[in-house]
Amino acid sequence: MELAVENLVKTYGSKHALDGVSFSLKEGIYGLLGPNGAGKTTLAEIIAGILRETSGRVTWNGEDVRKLGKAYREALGFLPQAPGFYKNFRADEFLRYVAAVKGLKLTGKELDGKVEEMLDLVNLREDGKRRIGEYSGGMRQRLGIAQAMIGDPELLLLDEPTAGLDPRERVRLRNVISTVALNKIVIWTTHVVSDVEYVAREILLLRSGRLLDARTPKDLCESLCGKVFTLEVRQDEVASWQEKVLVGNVMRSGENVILRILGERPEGAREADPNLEDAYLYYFRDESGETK
Amino acid sequence: MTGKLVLYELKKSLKDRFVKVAAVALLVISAVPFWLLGDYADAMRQNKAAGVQTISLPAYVRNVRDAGKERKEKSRVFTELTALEREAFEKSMREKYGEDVFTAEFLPPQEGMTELPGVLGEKVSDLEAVFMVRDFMRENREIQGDAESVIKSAKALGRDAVRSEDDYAIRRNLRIIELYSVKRKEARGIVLGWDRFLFSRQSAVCAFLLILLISAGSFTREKDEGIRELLMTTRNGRGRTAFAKYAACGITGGAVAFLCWLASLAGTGLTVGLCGHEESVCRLAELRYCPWTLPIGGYALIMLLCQMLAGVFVAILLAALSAVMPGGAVSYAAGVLLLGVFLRLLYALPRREYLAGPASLADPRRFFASYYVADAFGYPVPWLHLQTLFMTAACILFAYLGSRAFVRRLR
Repeated sequence: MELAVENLVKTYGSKHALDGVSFSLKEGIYGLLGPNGAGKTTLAEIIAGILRETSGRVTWNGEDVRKLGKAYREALGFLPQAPGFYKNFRADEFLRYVAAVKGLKLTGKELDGKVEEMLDLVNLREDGKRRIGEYSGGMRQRLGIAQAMIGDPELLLLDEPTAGLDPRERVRLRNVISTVALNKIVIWTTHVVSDVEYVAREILLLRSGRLLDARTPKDLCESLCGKVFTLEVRQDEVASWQEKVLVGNVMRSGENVILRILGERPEGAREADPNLEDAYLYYFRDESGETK
Repeated sequence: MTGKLVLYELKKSLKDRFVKVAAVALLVISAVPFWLLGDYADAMRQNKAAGVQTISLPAYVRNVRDAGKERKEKSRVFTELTALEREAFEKSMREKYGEDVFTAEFLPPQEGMTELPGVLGEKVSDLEAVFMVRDFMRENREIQGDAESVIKSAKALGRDAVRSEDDYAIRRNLRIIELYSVKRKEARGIVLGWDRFLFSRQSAVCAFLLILLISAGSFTREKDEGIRELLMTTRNGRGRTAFAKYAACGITGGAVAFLCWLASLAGTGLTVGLCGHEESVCRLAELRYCPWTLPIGGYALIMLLCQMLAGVFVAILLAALSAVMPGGAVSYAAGVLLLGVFLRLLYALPRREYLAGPASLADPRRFFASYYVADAFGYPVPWLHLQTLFMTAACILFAYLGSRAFVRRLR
């Protein structure tokens, strides 16, 4: 099982949304990390076959996905960034419908079991008979995840799946995806580092349509060894430090403040163990955070 | 699997609360005989002019219904007679009131003629029975005379066609002679309510409005709700879903046309009453020159089939339109325009019949009012058949183009 993206380019007029992105993925969870406007959704939508690439190609087990057509879509489970639903449908009914459009060949009983299993997985069993129109944003997001996973697809493409979920649900979802990811390729696009920090086999860093790096979370953290420091300063010095160096975290400690600094070691600073959030801030230090 | 998808598409449309309310409202409107209002206004105008006291609308409707019921009952007494009984009745009338009682130009009232019971029983006086027979005889003569005049013209035109070696005209006139030579079924009973039901376009218009409501949003629903992207990534979310949408629209189009037809039939039946479904369509003035010897009930069924077909065509074309539209509001607006064009073509005979549009099938009168045929490579082919073929081809073409637009990838 292999998904490969070869020199993918997507332009809107003169703007490059993707600029020669290439990577190859095997079984496992992959975090596609980048700030807003980095091209994550564009990349996900091209992989999902919704958006047309300007050049380059996506292959599934060595074959162009455009040529594979239905055979590729059979292997795909997709959660769009803003999933839509039929508000007059009940959740279980919607999952049955998705099973039908996915062409799952299940008997009535098997389908009932599958739908219940999915609702269980996303903690919606109790509300499965309610109209989707009555659901909260978080519940809809969970239903969106369930629809992507129904049919046990080999390639699971989740575009910001934790958006709108509370912390408990985020953790729960992370564990669910981690569990079901066996024998699958899961691509998880997000700008929330903690979503993928503990579950991703590899993190793909995307900035301004370019793939900056692709490493394991551990490697990414190790790449920052000797570049992360903590420094205790007075409250009135914080602003001047923020102008001088890249400050990752600001934590109050009694009268003073502990700054987490990335880059060169300032005088008096103590070296700290880098984490993925540090890596994110370090790699995307120049991003203004504008949305696409 | 496609069947399941069709069922889901039907669910999507019919679960909408607004559609449900609109469906009930339009079915009720289909059933209400609005033409009675026109009749009532006319009657009141005449009453006022004559200085007669006017009556309320409900009382008027009641009167119309009662009069219809009475006519129906009187007619039934006569139509239920066997051939032998009818012969005996006519014989007794001749013996009682003279040999020319049924044929005299002017029938002078004679003693006992208006008394009850008459020869036919408690409810029908002899005068009423005689007039009924005289009316039927006159009508039969007229129908037969009209058919003969058509044959005469066809023979004359056929001779011209032979002289000018016009194969199409020869075939056409031969066919006319053949069709109009078949003896028309004789009038045996009164025809009540059918002209009101068969030639009112109210139910068809209601059906089209409901079809617009259901079909114009069939593809845009996915765009508006943001589900299109999700569908595009599934195995059956493209071609099969598009096909299921068209199938569901076609099914609802046919079903809606059927329900509106049924509601209108029930509405007419409950107000004026319906009588004479087994009589020839030639009894209806609008179909006097119908080339086929159809009973009125048969024509009503053909009309139902044509309306259902029109419903299917309109539904598919509106769905195809919705497939290329960016959103529901635009699709409904475009749908209203398109339906307006279709209805305009229904009310006005087009210069080119093949441009008549699908709604023209909803009122098949024009196809049955005469021998209405087209020249298809020298052979006369009924326009009804050609129109159905044109519309089928148009629906297939537009449905294909629509589904292509729906499944194409975003730029």
